Amino acid sequence: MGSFWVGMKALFQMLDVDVVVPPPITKRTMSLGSTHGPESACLPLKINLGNFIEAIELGADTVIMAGGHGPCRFGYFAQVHREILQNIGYDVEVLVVEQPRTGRQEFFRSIKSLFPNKNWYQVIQAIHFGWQKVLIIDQLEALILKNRAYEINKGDHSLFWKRAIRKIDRISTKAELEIGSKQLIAELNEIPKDYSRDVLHVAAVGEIYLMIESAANLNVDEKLGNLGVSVVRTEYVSDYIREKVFKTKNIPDLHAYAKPYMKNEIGGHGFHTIANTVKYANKGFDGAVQILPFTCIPEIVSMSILNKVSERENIPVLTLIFDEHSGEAGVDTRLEAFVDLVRRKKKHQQLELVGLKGV
Amino acid sequence: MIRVGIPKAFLYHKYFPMWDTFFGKLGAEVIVSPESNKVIVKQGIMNTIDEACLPLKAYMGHIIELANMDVDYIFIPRFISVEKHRYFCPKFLGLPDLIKNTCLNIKLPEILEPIINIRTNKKEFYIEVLKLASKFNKSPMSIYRAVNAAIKVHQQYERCIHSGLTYKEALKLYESTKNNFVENTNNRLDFKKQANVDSKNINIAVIGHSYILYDQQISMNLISKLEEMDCDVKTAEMLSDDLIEIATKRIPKDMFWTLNRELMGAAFHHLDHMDIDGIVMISAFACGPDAISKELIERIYKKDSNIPMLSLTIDEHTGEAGFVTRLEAFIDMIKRNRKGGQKHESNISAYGQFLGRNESVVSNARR
Repeated sequence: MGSFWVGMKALFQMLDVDVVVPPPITKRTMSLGSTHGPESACLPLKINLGNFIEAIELGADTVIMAGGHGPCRFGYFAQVHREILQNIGYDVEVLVVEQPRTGRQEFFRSIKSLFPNKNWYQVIQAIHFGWQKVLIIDQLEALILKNRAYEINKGDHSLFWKRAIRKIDRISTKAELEIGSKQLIAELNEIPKDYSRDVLHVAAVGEIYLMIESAANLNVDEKLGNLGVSVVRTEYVSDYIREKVFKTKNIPDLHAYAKPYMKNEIGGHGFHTIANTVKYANKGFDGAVQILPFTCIPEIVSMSILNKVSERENIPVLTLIFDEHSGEAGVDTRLEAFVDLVRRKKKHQQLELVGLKGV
Repeated sequence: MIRVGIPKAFLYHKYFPMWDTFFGKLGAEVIVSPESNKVIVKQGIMNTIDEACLPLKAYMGHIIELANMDVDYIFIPRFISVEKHRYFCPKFLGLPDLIKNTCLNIKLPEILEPIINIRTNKKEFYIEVLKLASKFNKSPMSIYRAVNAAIKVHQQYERCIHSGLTYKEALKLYESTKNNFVENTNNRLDFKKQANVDSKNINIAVIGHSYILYDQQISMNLISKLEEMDCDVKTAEMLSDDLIEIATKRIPKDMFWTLNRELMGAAFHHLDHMDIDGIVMISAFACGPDAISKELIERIYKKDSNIPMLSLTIDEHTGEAGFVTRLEAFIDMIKRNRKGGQKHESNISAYGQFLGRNESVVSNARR
């Protein structure tokens, strides 16, 4: 799931577990997942299944999966994975870290119960360390998405991102992490940029897995950046964990934004999609890109509402649906066309402002 | 008289008597949209986004149909949860929002959208009911009476269903005895269907949502087609809650969708008791919860039994002929198996007296 693995790896290594990180997502991962997975399930389930199979081939004997309590299907993935993996002959244990139903203690207890011979101090330390890594990665990524459109030497940010992930992954103590993250942020700010460029601002909304996993969304963020678009991604793993696991984040502002269109949460990130689109339209963004896996029900509901949002809030919305067959050229074309249209619209608005409508 | 429109789709079969009694006692006239037909479904398809499932598109068609029927209100409840810690599918959670924001060129009457959510507590639910009822009748006493009557009717209706009636039969019973449904059916319930006694028929469990199975247009009359082929059809709602509760123990985690939990429970109940000859699963293309439950049912059935299984997926393009062919082939296979025929398809002779599908089987099917 994006670069989230770095945090999880840190957590489990602190608890003296041998961690097998699945190899990067490739065509093989996707085809393994879609061969064995249910055909009409969404892409995250298939990719995760492919990841697990590849990790098992590398010698993993236990796989860890997050859970939940609906109404999104995600909460049941682990059960399906277990059934499929056993059925196709892999003798592995599937451990599930459930999303807490009552409070955050439940989450800590469920992690602790996986490690009966560790004491509470060690467990909390490990969770904290993993969490810190997740935070710094998300912080860096947000900066990169925002600044990529301004870079003078094309590809600087992408190179930096790969290096940063490797560096953070290698860090094994808290003190090092603190120094390292400061260095990385300084380094990022030093990348030469040209702020005089005419850059569009677009919010990426939609389903979290597809947004953060660049292999699944065919690098939409990078493509947008290279087209001169500064992207604000609305979902990060750290936000998700804050809201749903630690329960320290409240979203009253989102409820206020979504109220005219949607009155309650519908599971997954459907509600966030609507609310964030309205929010960034109000902030004066030039457009929004909705990213979702094929057959994602919450996003389908919000997709049909987005039409009206787009019309009323005056924000262009592009919807990109991904499944295992997505061809890259099609995505490129649609993104380019979208950016061109948005740019044209912006230009016209500017001309109207100075009273040169007919030009 | 205020006219309230109720679309004949989605949860209609499950809750209609309750809604009807409730609105009737409050002094409103209940208008139900006609059975799904080609026109309605087509209207829905034209007005919904492509990615939605077929039942949702049909629902939209019913709404448009109702909008043309001169009603004052359309009843689109927002079903979030009817049980503790369990949900409905996300499309039910956002149904009123979805309808309102998709029908941009059609003028809809006012929409009644009570939030039905007892996931955590019941208080809000009662407030919602009060808010809804006060649109029709301000007197607390009559609201109380209407709610009470509705609950009683619903309980009786559920009893009818669990005693072996299908939704269609139970609804017919309700229509015929409308005002004193509870009193009239009490003594008639003893006639439990004696279908299972006749062992010549084959037992087929049909696993699918009630809004697919009982909609003739969407399911292409699956149930009556099976019955014509001498099958006793067993659907999920015929099992009581206790039986489903026991059967779902097979899966380690509580299923958090109310409707799919029932379906899975029913499938596993039949697996535990081995009282069926075959299982037919029908689901709409791109149905989210079904993708998960279907996979689990399939895998577990294959692991623990050799009950034949047919899985059908429907969308707006399904041709009826292909549907019937698959169904017939499936039933023929079961019948041949029952006669002690060859276990392996490849061992069947292609001609002559050893032809697997011989005359007796064919004539059996026709009889």
